[in-house]
Parts: sequence; C-alpha cells; structure tokens
Amino acid sequence: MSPGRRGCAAVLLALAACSPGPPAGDPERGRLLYLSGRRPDGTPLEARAQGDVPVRGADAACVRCHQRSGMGSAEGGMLVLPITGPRLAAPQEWSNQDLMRYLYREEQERAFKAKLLQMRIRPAYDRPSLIRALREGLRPDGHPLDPAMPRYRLSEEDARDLAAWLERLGAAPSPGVDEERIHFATVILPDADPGEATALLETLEAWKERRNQHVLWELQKPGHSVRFKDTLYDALRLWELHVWRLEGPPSSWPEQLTALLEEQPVFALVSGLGGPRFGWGPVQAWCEAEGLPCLFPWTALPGEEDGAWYSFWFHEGVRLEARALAVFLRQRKDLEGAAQLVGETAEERAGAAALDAALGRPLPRAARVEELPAPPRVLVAWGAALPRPGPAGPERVYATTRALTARSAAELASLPAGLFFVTPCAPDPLLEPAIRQDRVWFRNQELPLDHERLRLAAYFAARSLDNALEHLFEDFYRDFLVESIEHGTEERMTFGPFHRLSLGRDQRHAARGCFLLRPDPDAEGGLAVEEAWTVPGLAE
Amino acid sequence: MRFRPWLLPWLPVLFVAGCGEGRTAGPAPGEGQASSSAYTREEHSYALPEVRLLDRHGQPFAFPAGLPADRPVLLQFVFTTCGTICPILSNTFREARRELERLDPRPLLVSLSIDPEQDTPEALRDYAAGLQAGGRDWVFLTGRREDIEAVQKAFDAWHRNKMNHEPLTFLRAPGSSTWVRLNGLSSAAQLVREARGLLRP
Ligand code: HEC
Repeated sequence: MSPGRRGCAAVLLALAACSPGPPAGDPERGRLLYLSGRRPDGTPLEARAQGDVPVRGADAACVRCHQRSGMGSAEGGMLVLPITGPRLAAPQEWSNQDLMRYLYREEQERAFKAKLLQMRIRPAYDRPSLIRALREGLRPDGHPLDPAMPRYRLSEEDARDLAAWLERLGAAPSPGVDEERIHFATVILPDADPGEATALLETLEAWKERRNQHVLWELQKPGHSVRFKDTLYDALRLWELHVWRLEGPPSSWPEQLTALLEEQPVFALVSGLGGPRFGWGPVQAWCEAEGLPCLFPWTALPGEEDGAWYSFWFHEGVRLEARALAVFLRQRKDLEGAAQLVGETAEERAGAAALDAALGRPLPRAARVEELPAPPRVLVAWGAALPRPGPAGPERVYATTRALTARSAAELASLPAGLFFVTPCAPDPLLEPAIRQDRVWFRNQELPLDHERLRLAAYFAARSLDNALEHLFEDFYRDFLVESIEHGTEERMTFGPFHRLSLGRDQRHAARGCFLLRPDPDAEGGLAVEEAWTVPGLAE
Repeated sequence: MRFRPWLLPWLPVLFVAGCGEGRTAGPAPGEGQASSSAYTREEHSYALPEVRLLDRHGQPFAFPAGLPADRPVLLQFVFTTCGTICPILSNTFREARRELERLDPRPLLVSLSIDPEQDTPEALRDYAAGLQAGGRDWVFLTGRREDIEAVQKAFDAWHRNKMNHEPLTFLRAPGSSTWVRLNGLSSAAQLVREARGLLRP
C-alpha cells in the first residue's frame, strides 16, 4: 500500500490532535474500507448487488466502481456517480462538463444515454442520508439508486468511518494548476544520451507550443469568455513544461526532485529519459511517495516497486525482452551453446538476470566474447554494441531495443544475417498507416526524425496526457488523471513506435509482448519480422 | 487537439436517439424484488470463427468445437481488471451456479477474457480462485488478441476500447445453434430462470 498523500496525512494528524472522538469516524479506517473492502482485522465488507448477487471484500470495495479519485466511471454503459466530498455535499446537477465527460469521448450504448437523460437532480447528502444510501441504496429524496450500487451490511463504526473518508475525498484539487496554467515536468536522468535528450525535449516543446497556440485561439474566439462559468472553456489551461535534469548518484535524486517540486509544483511528470546505467526505480519510488503521476518515460529499466500506482510505462523494458527471449530461444532451439554478453550497467545486468530466471538456469556470461569460457554458438547481447555473427564468431546474435535504437534505418538494413532484435517496437510496415500521420506532424513542426522511435514515443506521451486531461475538465485531481490514462490509452489512434498499446485498472505496462526482427535491406525501416508478436505469459 | 465544443448543441439529439430503441422488450424486473434490474433478451445465430484459445491451465481449448453440444452453455465476456460490470457479471455466475448445477444436463459456464495479453492463464487462475470457480463446469479462456477479437466480433460484442464493453450474457440450449443474448445485468435468479427456459421446449 502506498499512501502517497502527504496532504491527507497532515489533515489526519491535525484531526487526531484536536478531535479524535469516534462519533466523527476514523477516515483512515474508512480509506482502508474504501480501497480494499476489508476492515483492519481483515474481515471483508459484505453487500448485495443486483438484488441478489452477494459481493464481498475486493469486489465490494468502493474503489472498484468509484475509483481512487472518487470520480466514478462510465464503463460498459454503467454510470458510476462521483462521490467526492464536495460532490456529495452539494445537490447533484449535471453540468455541461459532466455530460460531455460521459458522452462525447465514449462510444456509449443508447440505453446509457437514455439513462443519463432520466437522471434526476438530487438534494445534497448529509451524514445520515449518506449512511442510508450505503445501507439501503436510497438517495436523500428517497429514490432508489441503481441496483448495481451494492447495498452494504455496515456496523455503526464502518458507516461512520466510510462517511468520514468520503468527506475528505477530493476536498482540494491537486497542486500544479491555477486558473490559467497547468504545470508539468520532464525528468532527464544523468545517464541519458545527450542526442536523445535533445530529440525528446524538442518534440515535447514543439507539442506544447502548438497546443498552447490552439488553446489561445479557442479562448479568443468571440462569444467565449474565460469567466463564463460552466463552459468547457473553463477547463482549458495553458501548459507549462519544466525540464528537471538530475545529477549525481541515484541516492541523491529524491532530494533533488523534492527541491524541484517545492520550487515549482507540477501536476504530473510527462515522458522523460533514462540511459542504461541507472534505471527509473528511484524516480518511481519518489513519485509514489508524492502521489505524482509519471507518464511513459523512455527507459529500458522501469521501476518495479510492488503495488506502485502512479507510474505508467510503455513496457517492462529488458525484463520483458528477457522473458520473450526465453520463449524465442526455446522455440528456435537456440539454447544450446548460448551465452550472454553483459556489461556493467544496471540495465544489462537486470536483463541478464531476468533471462536466467526465465530459463530457470544461468547462461554463461561475460563482458566480452573473449572472456567467455567457450566460444558461444548463440550470443545474447544486452548492450548497444553488436558483435557480428559469422564464421569467426557466433552463428546467431540476439540483441535488444537498446542496440536497435542506437542505429539508423540504413545501418540496420546493412547488418549481416544471423542478427536478431527482440523488441516491443514494431517494424515500420506494421505501423502503417498510423505512423504516416505522426510523421506529417513532425514535418509540419519542421522537426527532424532522427531518434525516430524515441520522438514518436514522446509525442505519444504528450498527446496521451492531453487527451486524459480533456476528460478531467476542471476536476484537477492527480488520481483522476491516472484513471483517465488507464481508461483512454486503448482509444488512441497512433501508439508511437508500438503496434498497439493497452491499459486498464491498475495495469501499468502498455505493451506486453515482443517481436523478433531481422535486418532486411528491402524492408522499409531496414527490419522485417522473423517471429510474430509473442506475449511471454501466453506462450503455450 | 481534439477539443470539440461543437458537440454541445447536439447533446439533446444524442439523448432522444437513445429512446427509440427497436429491441424486443425484456422481462419485467424480476419477482417483486424492488432492486433487480431489467435487461433485454434477443435471439441470434452467430457464425463463430474456429480459433485455438487457452484455458486457465494453459491448455488449448478449441473454440467453438470445445463447447459441448449436449449441454446448455452460458458465456460472458469479462476481464480480470475490469472495474464495475465484470465483478457483477462473474459474481452472478458464481451465485447462480448452485442452482444451475442441479439442471440436467448440467450447464457449462464460460468466462472469456477480452483483455488476453493481461489475462494470461496465470491471471485467470487467480481470478477463478477469487470466485471459488473450481471444477470443470466453469471454464476461463484467453488467447491471441486477434482470435479473441474475432470471437467478440462474431458475437457482435466488440468495442475498440475494452473499457467500454457492455454487460452481456449468451446462452445456448443443448442441440441448438441459436444463442439467447441478454443485454444488461441480470440478477442471479433471473439468470437461472433463463437457463431453465433453455431446457423447456
Ligand atoms: C459494483 C459497483 C459499485 C460499488 C462496489 C460501489 N458503488 Fe456506489 N454506486 C455505484 C453506482 C452504479 C452508483 C450510481 C447509482 C445510480 O445511478 O442510481 C453508485 C452510487 C453511489 C452513491 C450515490 C451518489 C449520488 O450522487 O447519489 C454513493 C454515496 C455511493 N455510491 C457510495 C459508495 C460507497 C461508499 C461504496 C463502498 C462502500 C460504493 N459506493 C461501492 C456502484 C458501486
């Protein structure tokens, strides 16, 4: 469990200090009920949905339907109402923003739209009516709630604690936004390649400029004033993009990040770049503690904190490549005489360890081919350097995304036979026609397409963030942004250098498989498919 | 930017369009239970693709050949990380199971994942364990994404974004090639009634 909510902790401390009395309820215990469907002693919440369907524990946890932010959801034609403190304490009226949120972005069933139309305005909840809603499924005016909202068997204590948590939920918007602007930062780790960093930052900067121009243009259209309440225009903010370059050893990063955040609060981290030496783990841990979303940094070594919620990755990097390699090596009978080339970086070592784990036995490894106990028949190379297969060397060499992205299409096309890349990135022909649209955008910005995969990935991250933000309107909660990313990723029309990305609740790796590619001078982009998309967990 | 304020004037139209649905009226809310919901019922025959899926033990499952022709089949599309409707759908299966097991012939329950790359056999095992779905009468299926999509499309149940999938239950009588399609969430009692209905000529 990762609280990530210093604000709340502070409120709780203050409350505990002045009015700890049980009649008010214990919001921290309420939070546990909300998130896990269990009491501190482990007993599950119990309820009935649809009249006669018992649900308990995790299935009865409020978070399943109302989400961590309390902002609810509209999935599968089911409208789950928002239940943040401010929303419950006010009469429900549907604003244009609410309606747009539920309708315009979604392909929703007609029955759902009909239901929205029938929604009646309800009076505000107070404590007793809220508790009655949880137990009996009645609104303050006595109308029954939809039977999908479970009816709960709650003790007095459970009810009070839940109410106490709901009253705090969403009480204040997250930092990093004001009436005009919304702030984001991009983290560049000290080991990032300078050329890659330039490509990435150029792309993000160009995106921001274009987007802000568009917003200004919308706001200046006649008939729309920023002060006109409850228009969609109220939700528009200009982006500010800050670049946070970290220095020194990873142990010093949290302190640097905290100082940067104090100087300039941001709503989320977007994109970002790491090299092979360190990995993103320390940044992830820090984001988790801050409750700060971190969207799609370009790294081959994402953090692997258990239960972490705020960081999104394109994929699991070398750990994914290792599991896919294990499948490919077995399938292709290339395990015999195989060895690994493993340098000093954290990325290479993590990849090699993951491959050994996936194979269930260690392969011989060394930093250089000459140092191996015997000349290998098959070589797995984790770094950017590529040993050449051939009569004097190994028969086959398997390399990763790191070696792939270090080379241009022309360089890739001219590599010798016997070389393969295991990678979640798709070869160009499989990205058609989407990639053409993206390239047009880059051309229109007069941006070059060196480091193309990285640029496409940064472009995807920025657009994802923008789309997710649109869904928030003025409910600027970081948790809601995370939920919006979870929900919307699969709807994108282009996925950067990937064939397809998809997420869901608590899913954090958007690509789950790898291709095996081989150099091919006749293929666009210089690479052809040797083995089709393979998801390690689905391999028979 | 895909900001589309021009949609606003269209909102009333979107709503009204929702009211004139041409589906057959569903059963009335069930048996005097104030809080069970209405669903609609249709009958279709679907041309199903032949694909090789995987069950929760990682064993191949030939679809649709592996669905028994001499027993009722109840099928739902779900995924293990789905928030709102799948827990209700799956728990409806779970709750109805006690009654369903008494039917002769005994029905086969099928929960087919529409998020196959996340829902590996391992993930399905955990999900099934949470539903206490031991035994052979409830299978959980996953597979290659293209295959799963082909099955969804054949059942007219595909959405580009799985998060927008609808609550659906499909039922097939022994010896029949027609599927009963329940649109919406039912209570467990309603589901049992529908399954019984399959066995009555
Ligand atoms: C299985 C899904 C589900 C779960 C779990 C769930 N809810 Fe709900 N809840 C709903 C739905 C759907 C609605 C909207 C009902 C309607 O439209 O009439 C709702 C409505 C509500 C409302 C009324 C909001 C309003 O504006 O009138 C409150 C309050 C509420 N839920 C609180 C909770 C709490 C607290 C929990 C956990 C103890 C919880 N819910 C768990 C689905 C769920």
